[in-house]
Amino acid sequence: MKENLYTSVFRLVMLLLFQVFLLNFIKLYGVVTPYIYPLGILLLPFETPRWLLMVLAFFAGLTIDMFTDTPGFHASAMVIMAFARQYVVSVNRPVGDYEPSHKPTIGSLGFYWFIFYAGILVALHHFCFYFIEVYSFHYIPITLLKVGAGSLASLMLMLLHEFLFYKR
Amino acid sequence: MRNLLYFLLRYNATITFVLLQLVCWALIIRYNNFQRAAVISSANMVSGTLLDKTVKAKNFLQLRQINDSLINENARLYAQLKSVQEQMLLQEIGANCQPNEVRILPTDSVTGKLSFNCIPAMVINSSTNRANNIITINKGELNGIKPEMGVVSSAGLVGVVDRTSDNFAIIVPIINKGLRVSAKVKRTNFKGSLQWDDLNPLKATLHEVPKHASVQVGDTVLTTGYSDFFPPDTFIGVIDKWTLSEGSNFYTCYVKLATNFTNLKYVYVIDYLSQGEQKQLESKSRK
Repeated sequence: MKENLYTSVFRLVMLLLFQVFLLNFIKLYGVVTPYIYPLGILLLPFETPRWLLMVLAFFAGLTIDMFTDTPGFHASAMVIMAFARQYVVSVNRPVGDYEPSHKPTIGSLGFYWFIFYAGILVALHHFCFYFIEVYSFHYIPITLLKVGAGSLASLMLMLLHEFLFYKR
Repeated sequence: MRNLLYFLLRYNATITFVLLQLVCWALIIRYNNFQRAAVISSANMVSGTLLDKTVKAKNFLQLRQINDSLINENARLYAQLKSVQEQMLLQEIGANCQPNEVRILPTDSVTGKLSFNCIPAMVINSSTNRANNIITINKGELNGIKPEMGVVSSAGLVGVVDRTSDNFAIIVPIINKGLRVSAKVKRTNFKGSLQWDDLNPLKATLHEVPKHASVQVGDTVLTTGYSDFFPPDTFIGVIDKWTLSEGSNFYTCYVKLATNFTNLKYVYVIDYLSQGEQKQLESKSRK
């Protein structure tokens, strides 16, 4: 399990680098920036203690914040997402419960399970991030549009990552 | 103590969550002016409302002074704006003008360009109330303006350049007793001589239109192109009134000038290129 955690943290660092040096420069239609780095937290093994999950999420978010001049925005959204992961996992049970060998990946738990799991949490992350960013209730439609489009783009990238590094 | 430890262990996730969120929000509020302002202003809602009310009451009592100072401020700004506009206009006027600026001038039917050079200039001094009015413009020899060049405005004929210095030129407008311009009635094509003799800056008189050329009120008056200064068919004005005195063979037509000399701002000096050629030919044939 220890080794599993190390590879996960390594993957998180790689995703952060990818995010900071490549994806942050992408602005689809001038608005949507896809965020793939939450996947680093989503893919941490189930046994990871929740506090560790949140601390890692916090520092991952803070790293992105440092590079985008948005101190605390990503960190807050990530901590919320990490906090909510437990609940999504317990709601989204696979057929015949979880087994100790299960990992939160497509290879281990299947496509639909992953879509549901990642979809909800990514949408939550984007929702928190964009609403902290506008910090107002005056622009709800446009912010929701950003959340929707951003989540879709991010989810696409995450699926791509999952299929590229497919492992049973 | 035991219970406290138990509590901390049981809710470690929630506690971590709350602590981390607090750190995040400290960052968000500390580093972002916009969010900070929002928090502070909502915290100060009560004191802010009171302060606002007090200021409003104070302002109401001071309305007179405020009004006066605003009027002064307005006047000052207006004066500034005027002078800046003037400067900008002076700079804006380029060296050469486009056909769409002077629609009254004929253009080359093939290229769509003006058939001759046309130099835009700004009127910097003019008179309309004297018998011999003159107009001064802000372009001179250095801009290619020479005596005897024709001058038009965007509405119609203006006059002829009289004298030039390096940077200025003086125009003798059609509302000057000294200037006569050869003109014709467009509908019937009969020629006459346009001059100014009733001291009204809005009107000129067209003489020497023969009796058998039926003149009507509203007829258009154009230049003939005989006079060397202007290209043919430049718009001058429309006939406003005409008289035919007993025993005379010529009409006297009063022409309402298209150019309004009382608020003339821009003029276009025409370098009528065929002028030289025509003159040469004419002088040759006289020999």
